Amino acid sequence: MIIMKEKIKITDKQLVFLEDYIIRKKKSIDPEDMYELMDHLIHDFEATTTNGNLSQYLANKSWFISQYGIGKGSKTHWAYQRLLWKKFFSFFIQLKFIPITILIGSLLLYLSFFLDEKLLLATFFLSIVGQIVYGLTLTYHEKKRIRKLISFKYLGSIMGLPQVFLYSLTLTKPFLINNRLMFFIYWILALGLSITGTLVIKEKRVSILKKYKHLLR
Amino acid sequence: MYICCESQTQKATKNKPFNIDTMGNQKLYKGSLQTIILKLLAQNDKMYGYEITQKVKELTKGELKITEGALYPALHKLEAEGLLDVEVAKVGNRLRKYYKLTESGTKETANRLSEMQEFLNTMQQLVNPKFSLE
Repeated sequence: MIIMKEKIKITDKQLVFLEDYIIRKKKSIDPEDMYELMDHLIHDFEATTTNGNLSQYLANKSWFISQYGIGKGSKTHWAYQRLLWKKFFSFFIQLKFIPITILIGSLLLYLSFFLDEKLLLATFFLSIVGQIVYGLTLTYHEKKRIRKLISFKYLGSIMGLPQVFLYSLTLTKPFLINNRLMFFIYWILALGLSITGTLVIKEKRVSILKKYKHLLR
Repeated sequence: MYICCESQTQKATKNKPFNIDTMGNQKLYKGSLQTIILKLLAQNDKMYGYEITQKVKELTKGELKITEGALYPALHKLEAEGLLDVEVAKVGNRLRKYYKLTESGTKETANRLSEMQEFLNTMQQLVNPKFSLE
């Protein structure tokens, strides 16, 4: 006698249960991860279970569910940092950017040597803070579903490095003020990274919003 | 044979009766997971996670099984490195996340496949000098 194995199909009630279960297990889950995790579990549940018992299936999968997505934030952070440095160096090696780099560099060199201490520090702070604040305003979106996306959430971390340059000036100020060439190098690094950070955030924001336009509806 | 992450291997060994050969082979396959994913995506325009696991199972006639605990971290890593792009599409009444190769992902796939071919040739020369893959 041939026994036909009946194909299990997840019910609407079970779908609601599954969604609630994932939200309970992973409170601040990225919406994109939610789709992926749900889709995977539904497929696997329908393909592997024979009795249609979702609770039992989820109990067996609890380890995978709890581990899913762990480390994704850190991977995104380091990917953004790599992008930041890559873009930063492109200002010094790509022919189309070199004229603007020379222009900004010459201006900073002039200001570093000819401004008095107070004015120089004020100009430094204004140029860096302005860029950082502008960059950080781009990391906000009115839709919570967009803000919860890991790729969007970590945009702010791009500005972490320029902020380090800003804060560490309090420690390095006495040395840099007496060594204006070093001040110039410090300034060009800080400003370059701030401008690059803003550009990377802008580009990434556009691509994220384009990619997740379904979350905006 | 399963490709899985370390902690899952430990967990899996408690539940599944792996023999020593299987565990040994699993170690050999583990370093190739990303290349396997890239190769599959190069052959198929776009794929979703579960589809990848099933495709590998089908191609290897069940010899190689990629566990979900190993697949998704690898996919997320490749995505963060900019080798994969993501597309979310509505299928039936639910949303599905598809992965596809980016431009740099296509180049990287070619590099990794040629590296793997070199590795296989070297291994072939070492373990069986009489026969060559080329």
